[in-house]
Amino acid sequence: MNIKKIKTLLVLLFISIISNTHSAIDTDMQEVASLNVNAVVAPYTTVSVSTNELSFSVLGTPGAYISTDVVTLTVDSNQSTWSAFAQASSLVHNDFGVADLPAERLSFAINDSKQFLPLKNNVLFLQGVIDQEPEPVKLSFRLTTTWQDTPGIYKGKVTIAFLNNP
Amino acid sequence: MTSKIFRLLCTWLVLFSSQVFSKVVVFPVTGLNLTTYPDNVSQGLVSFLPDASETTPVYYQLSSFRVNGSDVDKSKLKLKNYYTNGFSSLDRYRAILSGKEKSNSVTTMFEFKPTWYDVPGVYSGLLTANINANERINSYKLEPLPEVPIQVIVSPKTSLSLNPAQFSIATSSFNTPVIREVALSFASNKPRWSLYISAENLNNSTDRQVANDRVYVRIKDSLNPKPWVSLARPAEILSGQATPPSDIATLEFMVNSKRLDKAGNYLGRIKFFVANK
Amino acid sequence: MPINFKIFVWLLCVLPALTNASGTKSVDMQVQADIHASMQMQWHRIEVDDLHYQQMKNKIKLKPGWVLLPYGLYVELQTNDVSRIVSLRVNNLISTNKIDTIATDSIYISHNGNALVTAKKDLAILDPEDRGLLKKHVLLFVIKTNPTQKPGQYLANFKFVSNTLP
Repeated sequence: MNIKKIKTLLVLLFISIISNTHSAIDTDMQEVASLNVNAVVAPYTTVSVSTNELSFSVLGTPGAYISTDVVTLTVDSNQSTWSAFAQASSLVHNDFGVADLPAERLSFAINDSKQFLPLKNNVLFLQGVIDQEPEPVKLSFRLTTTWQDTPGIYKGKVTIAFLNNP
Repeated sequence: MTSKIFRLLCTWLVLFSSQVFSKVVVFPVTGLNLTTYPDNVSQGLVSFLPDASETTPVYYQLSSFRVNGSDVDKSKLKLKNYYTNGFSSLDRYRAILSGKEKSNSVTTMFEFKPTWYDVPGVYSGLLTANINANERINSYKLEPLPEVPIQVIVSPKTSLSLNPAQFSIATSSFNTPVIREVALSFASNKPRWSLYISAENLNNSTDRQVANDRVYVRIKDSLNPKPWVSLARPAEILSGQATPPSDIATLEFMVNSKRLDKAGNYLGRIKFFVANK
Repeated sequence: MPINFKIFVWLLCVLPALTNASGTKSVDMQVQADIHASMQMQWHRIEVDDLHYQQMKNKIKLKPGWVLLPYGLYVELQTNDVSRIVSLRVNNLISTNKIDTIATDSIYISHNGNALVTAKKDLAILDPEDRGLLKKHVLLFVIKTNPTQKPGQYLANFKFVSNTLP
């Protein structure tokens, strides 16, 4: 019998002794008390956006302008299902008395979609389930202007809201 | 089992045969047998029945008292009867008969209360009379007085109380751990003991699980925090010697969080074991 | 209505919104749109057989000695600028041999079939009030002939002048 086989046998013998010793401890133990534990996993939803500023520069004639700011949205949640909604406010001109750009002038598309969804009301655009690694979503935004829109700076916001279903 | 019965039978035969010829009969013939545990008072009765010719006072004391091959303080065993002032220790002679019983039996109560420091085991002893057999025969022309066997069984006992006995804890990271403390009050009459702790997997109502390898414990030490020990396997956390109920440690627990854990409550138990060594 | 009942009704209405708010999380993105002033304009020459020419020609009543030129202009323009003014400036007609001219005081403009106006002044074809509107103009030219004018072919010489109000 060569040295290698002897070493293997010794290792196996050692392992069996250790496991037997452990078994002896298990069977000779007496339970004296127990503690009831409730571990609470707190619900969380973390949202990260690559930028929280969207700008449109309408230099030419009115029409549909896609912002160069592409928002990468990543949602991480430990709740069973969650939904993401998007909504825009109207864009208000810097000067008092100038008509706003209504919210539905803003629209958005997801990833490489060519279809832009108007942002007038809460638009459900994303749903997730637990046990999935969060995947970033790219949102492109488009502003449609008309000849009736007074030149100048308009400001507003787009809100992305999340609803969780525990 | 068979040898135990045989020994009992032999003992009974010897006692009975000796009592047939003595003037004092002891009931029960097997002597005093008590079973007790720490901090528990155990009492038993033994009756001594003299015949009319016994007019000499009779005193008894423990001539031997041993457990596990070691001598035991004889004062631990006490008696009380008509002639004593309350319970009196048997490390010296105590009156059993006055000599004026005129064949009336005298019942003596014996008492043993082990402390937590008294080792568990069978405490065996012998009550012997103040006048030995030769003196009884030669000087008093009386039959020898019986020896009374004493057997006290002290059971092993361990108790652990937890304060609190349950808790809720949020899962957290090692960087910012959420900790719950549990105070241990422990007592044991084992000469040496080791305390182990293990955790079950924690389960929620949707069959999701926080595995026990994410449950951690350490002994609280505010000045010098110890490393966390995972409860994936039973872990020995404390060991010591026999002790009455005392606060032996405060444990700290934490449950490590994982990002993909579903929100909710995960229930399970953490168990404490004492190894019987 | 007792005050307790009023409070109860109010709570009944408000509570669902409060509950919904507590279960949501949101992120805002600030939007800024910079709309620049712009204008688009296109024009082309129309000939006698053009429908627009014919339509406007029928509206013109010429006095004796007044000649309608056999060509005109069709202009479309639109702007979002609040202060933009666009005018048509007609210069002297120049003969094709570049020798003779017909001065602007002999030139009249028919603007969308309306009464003739002198070409000595710039003709406004876009006012600030027209902002956002698509303006369409058919411009025909009438010459008030006099014996000093040499016969021949003459070319119209005009330009569009764009100004902004201060």
